Amino acid sequence: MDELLASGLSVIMQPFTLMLLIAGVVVGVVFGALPGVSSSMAVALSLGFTYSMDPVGAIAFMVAVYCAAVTGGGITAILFKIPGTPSNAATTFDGFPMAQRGEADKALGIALICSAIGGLVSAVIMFLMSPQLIKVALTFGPSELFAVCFLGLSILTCLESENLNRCIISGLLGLFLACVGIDPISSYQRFTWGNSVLRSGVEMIPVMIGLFAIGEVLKQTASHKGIKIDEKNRQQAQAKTVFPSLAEWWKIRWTIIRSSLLGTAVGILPGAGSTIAAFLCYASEVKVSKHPERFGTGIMEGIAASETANNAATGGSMVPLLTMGIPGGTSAAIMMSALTLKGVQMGPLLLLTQPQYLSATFISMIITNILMVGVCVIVARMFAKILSIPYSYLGTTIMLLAVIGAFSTKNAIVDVKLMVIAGVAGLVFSACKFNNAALILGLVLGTMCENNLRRAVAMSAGSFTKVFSRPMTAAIMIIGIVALLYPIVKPLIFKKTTLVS
Amino acid sequence: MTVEFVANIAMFLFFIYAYFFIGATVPASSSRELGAEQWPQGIIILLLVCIGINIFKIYKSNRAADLKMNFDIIGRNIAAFTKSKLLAGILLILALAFLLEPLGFIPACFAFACLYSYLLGSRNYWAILTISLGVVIFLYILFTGFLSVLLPRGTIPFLRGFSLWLESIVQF
Repeated sequence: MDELLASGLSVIMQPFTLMLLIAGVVVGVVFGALPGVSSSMAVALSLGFTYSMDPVGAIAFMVAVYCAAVTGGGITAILFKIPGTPSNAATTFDGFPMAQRGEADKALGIALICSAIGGLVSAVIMFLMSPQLIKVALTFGPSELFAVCFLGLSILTCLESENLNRCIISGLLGLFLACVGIDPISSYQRFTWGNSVLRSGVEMIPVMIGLFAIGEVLKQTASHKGIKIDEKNRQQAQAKTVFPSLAEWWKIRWTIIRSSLLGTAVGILPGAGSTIAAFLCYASEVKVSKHPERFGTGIMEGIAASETANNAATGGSMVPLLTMGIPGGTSAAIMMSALTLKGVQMGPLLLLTQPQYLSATFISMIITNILMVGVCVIVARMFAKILSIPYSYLGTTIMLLAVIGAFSTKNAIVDVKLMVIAGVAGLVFSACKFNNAALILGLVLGTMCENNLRRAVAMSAGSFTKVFSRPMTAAIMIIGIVALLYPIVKPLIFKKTTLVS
Repeated sequence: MTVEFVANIAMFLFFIYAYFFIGATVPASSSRELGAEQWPQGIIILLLVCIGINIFKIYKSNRAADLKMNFDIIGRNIAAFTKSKLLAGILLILALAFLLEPLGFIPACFAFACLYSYLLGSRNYWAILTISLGVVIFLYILFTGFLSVLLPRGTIPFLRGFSLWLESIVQF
């Protein structure tokens, strides 16, 4: 463990890598705070910057963007009631009422420090858990790995409770798209229709950039509005950051501890992201509070719960990515695609063959969460100016960054075309109320799912019973099935109980 | 609602075709393995079931008469779409994707940035021109000069020559 820590420090503490880390934090905070730029979009847009970096630099930069984007989103959530990223939506419940009472500075202070604590706790848990989980993962065969992928897919039904069926369709569409191209086991062409471009499959990075960046800007183009901020609220953007007193911190200590741990645990679940973590922690704090009626009126606990949890989930989502090569969320999926291009072997072999990357991720998260506080304090002061950038220029710049990101993947124009197609498809997708995150989850996990299941079936000579009767496989599959069916069955049970009562 | 209904029907029909297409194009696998066609076919079956449920839900939530009425106004919706900013935005980004290779990064992106800024509501022509040029040049120098990411140079000789000249200046 000490060696791992030392190797991480030695690779990250290089002046150039530190500079990249700082740049990543600034880019992440600004991107995250801009309404309409989610943390996934921030990571997708930052891909273009990483192509010429070495793997450690790319890890440091992307980890910094990812963590800082989630924290940056809290600034606009508090000042303008506009969550910078979806995971900051719960912050508006108490952050904005505090700002309206003239306590914006204090609300910002709580959000920043809680976010940093959440990130630090999750980074430490990630560092302690990853080597142990990797040891377990090394004993996994194809059937167990399939079960873990299935567990990741089972989160599909938790992504959007209102549209369960559409979420499942989106995930299945992602799985279908992952089948396009040459089959990796028997080398048959599937759904290529003789097209040479489709032979290598659907490239993930252009599709992700298209869905998250192009689709979003096109949506804003259609809605004619972009970002609009109330003039009264704009005055709050001059807010400084004031950190609460020790007594106030002591008052919310249990909220921070509970949200850090729960947020990290939710982040570890493949597919569940920081948005679910933030809402879950906020809801559980309301439940355990002696004064639940005060939530939503502008109290510190509300901000602490949501901001601690959403950043804790970022560290948590790195655990399945690093230990099993299964992304914990959309941003982690984008990072995985980019780091795979750099030759980073995500999964159980990471600790054995490239331990420096595991430790680099950990150290990057620690430094990012510390740096973030300072950067956010400065950025929060400049927010009135940053948010006065008209969307006509911001949207165009996002489009140009997206084009560079897609093109630089393989220096191929066809990827730019694919990105545009994905963007337009994403727009139709949204119009049909399908879920982009579920599609990405299916696309990323599809190949892993198929390869592992087919290997497992081949190893058991075609017997599915043998595949699923292995103890670990069966246990994970049962958890996956329960997780998959619970959101579907829950309303039915609830409805029945209500009718009976 | 009509768009959703039509899109779901189209997907349903496509996946019926895809089910038989994969069965016909990939050789049947032995009973001792999960073949290359069986995994996609399994996904397609699940998709057909879910899309079927979705179509039924859409139909149920909008009575048949409503759907018929919606189909009647679909023509008007298409006419409105052809004049919308959304279509213009899609066409602009499509044009950029196709012109990036022949024109090169700077000319194609500069033209795109000017037109898209106008589309998004900016009407100050000097601001559009200067900001678009500034952003494109900044991104070009940042990626080509500092990050060594090669951006399209263009295939039209004089534009390619211009890009190469610029690259020779900004390479650090």
